[in-house]
Amino acid sequence: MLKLQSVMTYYGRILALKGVSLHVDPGEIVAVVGPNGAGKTTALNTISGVLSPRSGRITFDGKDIAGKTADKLVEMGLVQVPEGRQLFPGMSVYENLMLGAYRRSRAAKRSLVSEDLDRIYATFPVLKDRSRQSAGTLSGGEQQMLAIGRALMARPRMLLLDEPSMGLAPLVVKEIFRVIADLRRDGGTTVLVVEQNAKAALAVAKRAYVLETGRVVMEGPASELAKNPEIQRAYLGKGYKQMVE
Amino acid sequence: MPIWNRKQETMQRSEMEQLQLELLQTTVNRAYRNVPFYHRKFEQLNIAPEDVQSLCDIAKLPFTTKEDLRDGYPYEMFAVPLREIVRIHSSSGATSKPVVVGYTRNDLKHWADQTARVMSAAGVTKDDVVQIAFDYGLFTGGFGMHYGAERLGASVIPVSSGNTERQVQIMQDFRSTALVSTPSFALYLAEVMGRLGVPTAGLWLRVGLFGGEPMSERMRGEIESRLGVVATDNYGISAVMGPGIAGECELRDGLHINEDHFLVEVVDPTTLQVLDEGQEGELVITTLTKEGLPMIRYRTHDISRITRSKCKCGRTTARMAPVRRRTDDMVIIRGVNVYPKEIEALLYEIEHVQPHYQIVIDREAGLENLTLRVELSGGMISDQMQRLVELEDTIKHRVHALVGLTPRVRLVEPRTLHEVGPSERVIDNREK
Repeated sequence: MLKLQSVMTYYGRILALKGVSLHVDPGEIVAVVGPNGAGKTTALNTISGVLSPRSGRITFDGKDIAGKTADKLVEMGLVQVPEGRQLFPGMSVYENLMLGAYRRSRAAKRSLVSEDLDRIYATFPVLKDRSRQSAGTLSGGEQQMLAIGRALMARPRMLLLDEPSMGLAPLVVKEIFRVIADLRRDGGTTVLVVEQNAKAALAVAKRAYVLETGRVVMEGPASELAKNPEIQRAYLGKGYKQMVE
Repeated sequence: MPIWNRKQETMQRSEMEQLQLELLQTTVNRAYRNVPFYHRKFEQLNIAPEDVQSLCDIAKLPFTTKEDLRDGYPYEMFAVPLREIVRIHSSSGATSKPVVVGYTRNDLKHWADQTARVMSAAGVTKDDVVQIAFDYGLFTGGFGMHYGAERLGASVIPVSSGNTERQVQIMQDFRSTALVSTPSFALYLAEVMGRLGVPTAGLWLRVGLFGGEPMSERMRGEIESRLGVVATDNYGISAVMGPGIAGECELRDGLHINEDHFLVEVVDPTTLQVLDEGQEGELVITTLTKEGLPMIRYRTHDISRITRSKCKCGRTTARMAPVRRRTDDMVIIRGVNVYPKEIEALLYEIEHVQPHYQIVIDREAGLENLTLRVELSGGMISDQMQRLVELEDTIKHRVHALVGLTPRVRLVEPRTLHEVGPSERVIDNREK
């Protein structure tokens, strides 16, 4: 569904992605894990059109999407939930959700939009309870749910999630990832999630890539990587080479 | 026959190439970061991991040789700390430092899946009783095939090598249906059975998986008729992993390469240029998933060729021709290239002798001499001088017709040369 081949992206003057290749098959949850500064968000922003790659290929459903605007990608079914949620704090939960459907509201039937709204309220009952409340008054976890809900209003076929666990308490992180797993199971939504919290991401993902200083150093089934000592080390940032101890 | 890992073995070419590119990059990134040897090589060639942007870019990368592995004896080439290594295998190292191979837990898991694929392709199922007559120990053959058979759920007999008469007994009593061994051991088993008067018709054997040394079509035919098995060839190389790299399916039209774990190239052994599909040359293997000992462009010295055409069995993986020769077993005598394997094939066609032989090269007064020691068949009465002389002449003429040199021929008693290993096949006394 999504394919990256040797993608290089500069972040300012820094080569943040040094030839990253990865793929996501339809219906999969794929995680990109790695320490802070590994290039995870740059990778996601390059896919979603926020940043332009210097070289390499990105295809979605076989179509070249490198350099396409986020708008265009939303129309194609590729929707990003940005890091730090980027909600409109002064607007109500309902209004924030409706913003997610803005590409559709004119073309799509109103009834479909309200159907989606009902579905999202069913997934996140708390959003229904607080639909009139302004987004700024929600807790961190609720804001993340709202951000995901808003993205779902665009009826994505593939969701790009940027650090959904950021700033959240462990129990809330668990809840968010449970919802991500449900999205795939119930709605068939394909998910690419970048996450520093490897443990949480690897628990729901089918496959994963380990990114380190702009390079993919491992890939494999998430269950396999979860047990890999190298991943622990990647996070702890401990000295690597200790041959005989 | 069932395809063991259908998803991986029947991938579309474009999907496989995407996966290979991803895995090649991760392997290069890890090797560059964790193995000083590769870091140094990259710097010498003035290349960085990100120069690998497509599968063709592999041609930019340095080769790895057996000598490099020996220089790194024992652990220098490992890409993970020793505490993550759960298994260590090693070559015998009779003449120099051995090659040491380390496996992580994941490496062993992948190994089992790959040998399971090879066994399944050859027709082994969970209902089989698999007699594994490869050496269990530092050699990779026994354990590697054992894991695959066990993964399939077959009944595994880890009989290991040697003890031939006991093997025959086990084969009869335990009702072995599959034999895993070298082709020459299979022939030797047949011979021992003949000597013991064991009728092969009474055996339960139906499949044979042979590896560890070249198997000519003639040998294959002989094994099949004498043991009543369908004989398949499989390929592995200890420095890279062991068995499980490739194996024939029941159609026996090339060995299916486990391409999601190995990137296989064919290069010209002299110029080292990458050759096109279908051209014969030296196999060069890059590991794609190995964690303990990743290998970039390992020169196998094995001669083969590759096809990516689709096999009728349904697998989409590339296939390699059976390895029958090596680049480094070529010996040059009086300026003539001689491949011992060709002489072996020739001996097969001559009655009254076994393809068990030894090539001795001497220099006398500056002149190089080729002496061929050949084992007589059991039935040949060696006191009939006239017939022995005729036999010697036949061998001389045939060898001359093949390589353009007339050897001296020494016929030796039956069963004196059958245990000569590959390293003793050629005795070169010229250097001394």
